[in-house]
Amino acid sequence: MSWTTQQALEYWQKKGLLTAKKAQELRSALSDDTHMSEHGMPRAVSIFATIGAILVGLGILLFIGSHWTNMTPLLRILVLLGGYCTVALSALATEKRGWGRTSEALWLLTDIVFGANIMLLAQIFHYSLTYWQGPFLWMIGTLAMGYARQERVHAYLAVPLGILALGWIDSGPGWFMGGQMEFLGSSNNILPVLSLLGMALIFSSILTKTTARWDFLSEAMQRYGMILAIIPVLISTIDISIPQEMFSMGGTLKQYIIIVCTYGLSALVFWKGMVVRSELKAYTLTALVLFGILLLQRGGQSIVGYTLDTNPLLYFLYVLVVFAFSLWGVWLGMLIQSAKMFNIGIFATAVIIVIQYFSWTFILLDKSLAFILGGILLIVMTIFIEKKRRSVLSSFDS
Amino acid sequence: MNKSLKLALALQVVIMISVFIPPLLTKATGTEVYLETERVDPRALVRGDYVALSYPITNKVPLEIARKAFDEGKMVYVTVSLDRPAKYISASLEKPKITEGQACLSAKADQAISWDNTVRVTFPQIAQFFVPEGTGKDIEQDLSNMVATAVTTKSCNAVLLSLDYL
Repeated sequence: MSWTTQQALEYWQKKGLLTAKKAQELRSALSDDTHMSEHGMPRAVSIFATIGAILVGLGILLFIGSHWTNMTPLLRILVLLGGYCTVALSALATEKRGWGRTSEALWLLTDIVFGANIMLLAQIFHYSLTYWQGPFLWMIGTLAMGYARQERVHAYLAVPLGILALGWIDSGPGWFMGGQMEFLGSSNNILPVLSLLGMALIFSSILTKTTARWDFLSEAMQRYGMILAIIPVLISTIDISIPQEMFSMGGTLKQYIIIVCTYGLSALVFWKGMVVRSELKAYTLTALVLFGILLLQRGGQSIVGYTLDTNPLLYFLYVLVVFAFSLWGVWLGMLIQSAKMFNIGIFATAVIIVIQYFSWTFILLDKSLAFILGGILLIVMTIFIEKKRRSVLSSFDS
Repeated sequence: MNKSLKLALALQVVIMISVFIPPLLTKATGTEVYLETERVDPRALVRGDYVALSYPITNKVPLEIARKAFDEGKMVYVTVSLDRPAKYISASLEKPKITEGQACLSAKADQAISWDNTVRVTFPQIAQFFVPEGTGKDIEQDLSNMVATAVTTKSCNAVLLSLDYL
């Protein structure tokens, strides 16, 4: 639960921690003009300005792409560079006028226009559909801007661009429906190592947190990392055949580099003593071991995946292990008072329960009672989890 | 404007320039070749309508060379004539020495060779041609009667210029 200023002041007065006079002084200080001009409604302004920047960026991308059929390549290049300069100058102008939030949104728009320009320049010269240098260069420029501005929003753009670039390296030509997303479905690409890639992002976030100038990257890397680490494992609990399909590796150089980098980063983080709490250390190490075991290969197939595919009892135990791991995440989130970890643990636990419910109801399809009981169970479970989640999170805040 | 912001902006501008300078140089210094085309499939993520191009000339690349390139992760260099449409001359895993009346293109052997015994080689640098929004389907109908005009350099880099009727 978050407290309003008024609620907090009343609460402290009731508890005898604050006198009425001091509370009034604090209240007056917040209505001060200087304070309002610097901090008044920053969140709303930031959100609207950021959404505005994204919409304008998308609009520019679509407008230019659809209306330049009759332009020569040179004119197209000039239009793109002109658009970029206009946005960058607008960001500078708003910054000079002291419109901090609007200016930051325009710096984000500069990043978006920069990236749109790279892709549209690539279109002019018919570059490959899986032109990995495009998102890579976009990421580099965005990181430079994030470094200069010290704003986290640039990191939220840069991280997925890095993942896309990594996926497109040595990918197919990208033809046909979904061809450009093939990297998320091919055993020769990043699919089998997605969980480890997520762990690499989490370790990188820990490392960047210790450096003041790169701290802006930390939150985005941690959030994307947690999602990447957990999603493939959750998907693998949907069906007995999925672990084998998902974790069989083609053994490409890219996959080995990701594996080596992840374990290298983890060694560095542990060696530097950056994970202090023993519970968190144990959890992280278990995740690394679990993801590593899933990637053990024989004859181009995941050993664990193949074993699970041929033995339903072992697959059931595997689902139990993943479920226990999610519950462990919830417990750890509570222990270390990390809302992010707690939420992701709750999310993973709920997803596994829903998946298992549907798996079992398909088996018991002819018995409608299974649906009714299962539905009631799910609704009750959702209410319980949400109530528990809110009460635990409010205890973190207060 | 602080120093790091200046550097960030300069870096972004340099990156944008670096995207279009190499193809402009290729266009300015390269040799034009005309390649027969086949196959199509429109729509690209982020960049709009395109025509996916496959070139029948790649079927002439010997299977052993394609398989070796695929196994070793190497490029295949295809030498062609400057006729309209271009004729196949040779293919190798090393960059060829181009003589008068010849041009070369970088090609890649794809995975298809492992399940079907034909040679599947593509020219990744000229594998798609971006077209005005909504025209991809129309071009698809005529693609077997078309030639792609590309400019190639001595180092076998290529840039697509146009798609015309034979």
